[in-house]
Amino acid sequence: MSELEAKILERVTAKKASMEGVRKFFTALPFLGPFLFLIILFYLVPVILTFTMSLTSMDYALEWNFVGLKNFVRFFQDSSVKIVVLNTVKYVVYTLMINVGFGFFLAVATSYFIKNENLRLAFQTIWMLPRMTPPVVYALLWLWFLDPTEAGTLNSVLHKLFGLPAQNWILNHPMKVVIVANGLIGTSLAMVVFSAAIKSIPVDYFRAASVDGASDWDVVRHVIVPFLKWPIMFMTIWQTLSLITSYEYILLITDGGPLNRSEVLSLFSYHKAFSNYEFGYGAAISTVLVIFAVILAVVMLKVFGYDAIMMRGEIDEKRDKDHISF
Amino acid sequence: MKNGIKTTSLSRAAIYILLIILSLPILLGYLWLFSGSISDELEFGIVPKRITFENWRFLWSDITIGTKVFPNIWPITLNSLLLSGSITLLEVLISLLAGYALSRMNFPGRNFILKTTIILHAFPGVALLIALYYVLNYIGMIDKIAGVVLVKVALELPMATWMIKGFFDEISWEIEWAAYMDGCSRLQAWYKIILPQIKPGIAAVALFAFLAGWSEFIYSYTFIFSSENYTLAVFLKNLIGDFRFLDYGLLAAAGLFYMIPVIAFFLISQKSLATIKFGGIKR
Amino acid sequence: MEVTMMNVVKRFGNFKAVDNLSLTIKDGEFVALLGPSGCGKTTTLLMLAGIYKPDAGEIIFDDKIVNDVLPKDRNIGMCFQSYALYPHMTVEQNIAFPLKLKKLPKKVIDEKVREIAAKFRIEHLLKRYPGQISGGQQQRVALARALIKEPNLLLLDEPLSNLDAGLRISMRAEIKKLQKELGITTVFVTHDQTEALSMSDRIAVMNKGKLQAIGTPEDLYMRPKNMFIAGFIGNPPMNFLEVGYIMDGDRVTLKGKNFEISLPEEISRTFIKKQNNERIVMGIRPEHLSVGAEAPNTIKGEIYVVEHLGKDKLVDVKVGDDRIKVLTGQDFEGKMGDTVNLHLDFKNVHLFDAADGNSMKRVA
Repeated sequence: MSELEAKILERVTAKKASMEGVRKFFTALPFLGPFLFLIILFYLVPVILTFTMSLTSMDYALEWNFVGLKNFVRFFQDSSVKIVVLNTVKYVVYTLMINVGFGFFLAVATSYFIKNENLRLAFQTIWMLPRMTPPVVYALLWLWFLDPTEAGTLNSVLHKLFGLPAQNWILNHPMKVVIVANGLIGTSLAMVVFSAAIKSIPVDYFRAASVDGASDWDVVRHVIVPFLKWPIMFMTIWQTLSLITSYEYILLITDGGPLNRSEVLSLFSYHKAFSNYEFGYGAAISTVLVIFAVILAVVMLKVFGYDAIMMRGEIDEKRDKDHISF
Repeated sequence: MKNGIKTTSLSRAAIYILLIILSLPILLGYLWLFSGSISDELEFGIVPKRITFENWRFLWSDITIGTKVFPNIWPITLNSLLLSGSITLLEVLISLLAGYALSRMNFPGRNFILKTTIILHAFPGVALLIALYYVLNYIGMIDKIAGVVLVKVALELPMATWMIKGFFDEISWEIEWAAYMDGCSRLQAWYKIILPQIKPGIAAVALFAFLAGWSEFIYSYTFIFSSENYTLAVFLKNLIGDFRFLDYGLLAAAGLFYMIPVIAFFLISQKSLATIKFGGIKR
Repeated sequence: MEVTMMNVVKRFGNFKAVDNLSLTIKDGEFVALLGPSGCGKTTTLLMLAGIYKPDAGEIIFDDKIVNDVLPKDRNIGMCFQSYALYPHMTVEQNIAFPLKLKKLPKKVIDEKVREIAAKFRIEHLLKRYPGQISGGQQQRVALARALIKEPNLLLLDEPLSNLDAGLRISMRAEIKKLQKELGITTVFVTHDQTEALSMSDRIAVMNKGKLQAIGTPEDLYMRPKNMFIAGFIGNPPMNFLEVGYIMDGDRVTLKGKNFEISLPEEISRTFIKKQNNERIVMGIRPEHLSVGAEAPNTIKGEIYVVEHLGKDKLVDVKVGDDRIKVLTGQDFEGKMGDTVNLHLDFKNVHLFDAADGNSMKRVA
């Protein structure tokens, strides 16, 4: 075969392959169509819209009046932004500490110290409850628990045990309330992930430690902690990502109050848009959050790879192979 | 666990006590929900003094405060059922289709879609609420249950699809090939041979979709204004706003009523709860 | 049904899984596709099945090109390595499934299921699910399902590899007998040469997507076409020794580092000639060597280790840097370190070109 012939053959083959690709894509399209449609309409378009709206002074009339970077300038001059950002940092850091720290404690306690399968399950189920409860009911439980009158549950318990006077917890300590309430929600996720990690530690490590005469605390320090390093790092980033953008529980318990004292950035954006009808300004705040979230997401992907994110043990097979060709 | 360590009884006892003390407030809360709903006075916060069903009056009469009349709960319950039911149906259907394509078909762009799906899974949809409002308004779906359904389905789809894809991945190719050899067309192989095998997976995804829809608050709260389209979550939120310091019994009963599907889920799937891919759920 | 593959190519991306394969399987023949894993044998089988479409070449059933015929329209029975029984169906439903898809009347289906279940002695399992029966039983169910529609071609993909040793030997005989009884053209994929040698009429040996040789078991064993076949067929495998080629009149002399062997004239004549001093490879199977007295034209070496194989002993002999395996009787009493002389059965000496590995045997 001459060089020319070989080249022609190569091009014909390449063209055939690309046509085959198009054919395959159209075979898959009926299956993927609805999925792609919804993803584009409710993810892709909103991201672009958020960015675009941030450059307008859009209000309830939803008209596009472009004002350049005015919203961002306002954002950096807004006096309440400072306190809100500070709140956000506090909220994320402390909630994370509860999530990861307490989640770790629960995982070790239930998966390592408790040997009885039913008891383990019972405790894990209890801690799963806050997460499974609808947010409105969960908020209701907190409002009831922290009722400011003397008959309020926490108040009466503290009074009976320590003789403390009744106080209005939500008014006096809004950030603490928000942090603890949100902390418990994330804790169950950390507990589940860490428990799975502990269960996947080969039994031989525990046996070796036992042969070496290790105490429980040695085992926790030298066997469990090293194995949990990655899950802990993963949990930290994953939770940061959801904490900076989630505000459902805060809205329900304190609504950011009193006087912005528990307002976080995402809720601030929500209030600007849906209380003040300043859609443009709200979108600008969201833009800041979205950019931050995307950066975090990309960092997470780079650090952990795709499969770890999905908490899947096995790697999605790299396929250059068709399994069916008709 | 079958690890060889004998935990010393002292540290074990300490852990038990700590766990019990820490778990008490949570148990207490849910216990109150129950006892508070059937009593008009409680001792120590949770022990009913007198049993009454007055707190459940919303089931047979309208709730009023001053001149304000709350809408009847039954149409609202129906709305919630409609919302969660539609979400479940759409989410399962679309994720079954997409999950099948992503798991068992090879087409250009497959990897790109897979990776995007994972990123979206980690991406919190609430951050897009303002733009979502605009989109719904644009397509005429604002203040409609159908609009909330679409948004919720779209935002849950990446996770559901990924889960379903995982179930498809585990079915051996030989089984599918065998179906073709036995005379199946592609469609027949899909519903006669493949779907029956991932039934438990479909059930799990459906259950999660239903509960997520049932618990859904922020989208209904933001995108629905007309009281005839309210869901239980919005109804309860409004109820809390007016009765918070007045009638905890009523709130407990309404909360418990709203919790019924969640409780049912807990009772049914207690064992599998911890093992199903719980970690995949967004907060 | 006669099956022909002409210049068939199958690529996965840039990888050629099957490379220009041409092969004809006669009506009623039992052919084994033998080769190491990844050699393209299963891909070949799946192309016959219609699961894969060849990228080039033609697949012909009798005289019809079937490249574009869907699997369901090929009337092929196939039995998989994992058996691939449908876990959500009972044994009965599994077996009846192909007929159900053909929309046969229920009465006919029941009749046929009963008939074939009796043949495979699985009547008592009909109401059970695949997960509730043993591997050997699953295998029989899979065969019954493959055969119930009376296919024109039966494809077996490593059907015995998941069975334990005893069952494997009895199933070997059973499948061979069944195939002859039914007279159904059968292609059988395996990596186990014992299976291929014992069951099939002809063996097609594949390696790296290419057909290396096709022939009767005897052909491949006695007259290997190249070093791959020679080394692949036969257990324990053939010894290969690099030697220098010297032609002296009509006699070929093979000069190794530590030995020199002169082949008798009538044997020498069966090989094509080479340049003097060219490097070639001599192959000889362990069963064609014996240990004997010191004599000219033998190979002297030292026993490295002796393995007991039950009815034989396998003696590993060190000759310089080379190691030669010799099969001896159970009565051989050499010990490690003993010096021995190896006698060759000259009729069974093979010579190969060192460059391309092809046999130097003249084609008759």
